Amino acid sequence: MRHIGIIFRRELAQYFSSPIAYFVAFAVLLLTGFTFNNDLALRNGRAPVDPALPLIYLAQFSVFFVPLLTMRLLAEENREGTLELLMTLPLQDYQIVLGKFLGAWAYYTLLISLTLVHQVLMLWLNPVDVGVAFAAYIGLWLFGGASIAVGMFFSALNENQIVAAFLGMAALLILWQADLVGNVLNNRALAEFVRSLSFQSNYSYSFAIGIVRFDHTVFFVGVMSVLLLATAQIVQSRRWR
Amino acid sequence: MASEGKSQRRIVLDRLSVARWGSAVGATALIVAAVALLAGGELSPVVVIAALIGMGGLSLWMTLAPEDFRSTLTGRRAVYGSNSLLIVLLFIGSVLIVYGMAARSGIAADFTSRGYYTLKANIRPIIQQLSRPIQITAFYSRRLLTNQALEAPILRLFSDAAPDKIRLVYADPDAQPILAGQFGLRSAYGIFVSYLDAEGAPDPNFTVKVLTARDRLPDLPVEEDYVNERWIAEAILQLEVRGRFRVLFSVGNGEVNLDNDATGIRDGLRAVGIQVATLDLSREGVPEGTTALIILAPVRDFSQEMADRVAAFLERGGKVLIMAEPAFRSDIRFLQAEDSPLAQYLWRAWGVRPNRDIVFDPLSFNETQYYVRAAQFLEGHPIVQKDQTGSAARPLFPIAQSWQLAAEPPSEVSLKSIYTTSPQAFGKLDLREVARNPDRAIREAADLPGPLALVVAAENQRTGARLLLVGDSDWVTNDLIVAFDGQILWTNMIDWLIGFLERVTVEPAFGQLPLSVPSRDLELTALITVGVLPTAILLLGMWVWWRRARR
Repeated sequence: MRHIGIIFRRELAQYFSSPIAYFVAFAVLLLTGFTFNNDLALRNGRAPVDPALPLIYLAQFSVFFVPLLTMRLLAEENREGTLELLMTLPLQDYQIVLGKFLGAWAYYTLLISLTLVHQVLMLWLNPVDVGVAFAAYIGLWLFGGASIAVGMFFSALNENQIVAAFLGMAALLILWQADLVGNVLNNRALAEFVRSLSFQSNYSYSFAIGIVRFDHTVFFVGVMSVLLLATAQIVQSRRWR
Repeated sequence: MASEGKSQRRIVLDRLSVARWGSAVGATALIVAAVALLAGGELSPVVVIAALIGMGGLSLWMTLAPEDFRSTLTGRRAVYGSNSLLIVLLFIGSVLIVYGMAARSGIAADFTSRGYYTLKANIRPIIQQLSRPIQITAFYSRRLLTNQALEAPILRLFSDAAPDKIRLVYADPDAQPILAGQFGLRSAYGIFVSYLDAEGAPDPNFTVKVLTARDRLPDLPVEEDYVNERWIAEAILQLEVRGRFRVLFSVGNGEVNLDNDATGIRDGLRAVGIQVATLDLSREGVPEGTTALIILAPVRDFSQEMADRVAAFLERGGKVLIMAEPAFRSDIRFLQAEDSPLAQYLWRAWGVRPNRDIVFDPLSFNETQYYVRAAQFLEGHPIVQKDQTGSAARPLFPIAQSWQLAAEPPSEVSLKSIYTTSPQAFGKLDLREVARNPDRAIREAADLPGPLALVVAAENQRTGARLLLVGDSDWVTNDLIVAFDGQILWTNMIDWLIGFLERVTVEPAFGQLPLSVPSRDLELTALITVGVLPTAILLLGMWVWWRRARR
């Protein structure tokens, strides 16, 4: 755990010492702010506010900004050869991967916690269902963890950060849009299976409406575990390739 | 030197590189074949061609570079690689097993403060007191998988609450058109509740369709259609009361023909599960188990024996609706004679009798004054309620007679005039004169002064019997019931008589109020979320960048 903690702190500190993370946060908050205010204006006088809505937008934006956060995690170390240096230290490969993952996840957690401002403003404007907001935050947090694991997987596969980011975005976009697979596939059983792998269907129809479902929680934790294991295997492959 | 080096680079096409390209193309083609097979579910030309290319590519690899092929399968990288792959695959398998178990367990926590995904307290007893096992059959076409996902937690509330009594089945109307046809489903979406027959299959004779949002708003696209917990519960209640309400229409005395002129009201009752049958009072009395008797404007008057049978039914707490036309034709004699046995009973036991007039109302804005639109109504009575806002239905009675209410009705009877004419209306008693000049009615001294009672409701407090009297029957015929709130009045009357809706209605949960804030509050919100917050983060980032640049 101590080794994981050291890598975690190093990664988290790197986010705050680099302007990129701030610029990503700026862009995400600006986009979320626009969609949030647009939604409020549309609902005023017509419909109650939905505390999960800014979080659903944030989940959609995560598809694009999470790979920007994860692209350098292993690709940069690969390209600069510092991964080999790390591997000479008395560290297990999984500890490297887990430490980096937790660092990225902690940054993501801080980022989504900034949207609590939106929730406070909603509470000020109109009584909202705090329970729905709470469940939506739990889901978004797990969603973010799974997205980071996807991004890290592609970062481990490539030395080029841009390629890693692009592949991560493509994979997350497919995983998000897999919800609509029923419109394309003729095979209903396959469509339902593919849909069950969709990030959107595991988030928007449970956490975002106020239910914390055990299977959807297992889904996100499972995606994280599988991809972190695969990423650790990729890192380990450098020892025998 | 660099440009020289670049110019010297050549693409070398040797056996090994061709073999490796062959292996890559072959592997890709096999993946494409597998995906196409899974997606299409058949050996399509694409699957066959891709599989052939795949096998060809791999054969090329094995033929041109057998050593490379062998070392890939048995070398150090293959051993470590396959180990890694196996570990990952095993782990994926374990995760899938846990995921499958979690999905089957249905464990979920409802965080909504109103308990939206928890069975409501007023719905739980409905489920617990189910008389027979039921099946909820939910049809979603393939393109409505998202709708299925959204409604699954609500549907599961019911099956989880009583797994031994409620079975939840999903079906695809496109893939199972025969099954959809059995339920009468013609669209991509529909939910039904059914009792099960002896073989455990849903019984089509005991099936109720859950009314969806689209049944209430027909313009709603099917993709936006939905049901909620209350509507499903109401469908279950309708199923439970199916056959328990029995309404008899009297026949044999020239009544309005149910099979021709008033099919709408008959079919409407049947559609909600109320049994409808006919009864000839000249042959038999009202049988036990009858919820209500409807006497729909007979032409011939009832004999003493028939009147006694109606009276006996009311005496044991029965509910009776009588519609009586005025004698605008010479053959109409129902309740018209002074010594009419039924009219005499109504006056004696209930304090009400027909005025035997024809009502004219100058304030009725229709083409003739004898098309009387109810001008006044008894505020707040359930029969006049048009909707939940409390506004009243305003039915139209073409050629109606009025009712006389006793100043002092029998002690056990509460007597109320539900709909009346305007005060300017008058009741012409000289019906021959009316027949001669139907469009030129002038108020005369002998006429009954308005306001005149058009609909009367009476209740016997001791027996619980209820009696409804209407001075017209044309308004329930197929042509007219759809106009001037006729359907609402009919539904309300039946409901007041037999208490149907209160048996099949679930009180709605309190909904959240819409956002209603002044624009300056929205502007302040926008300033904070679009201006202050992102700008603060941006400034922090610029400060970090500036510090790094200075180092």
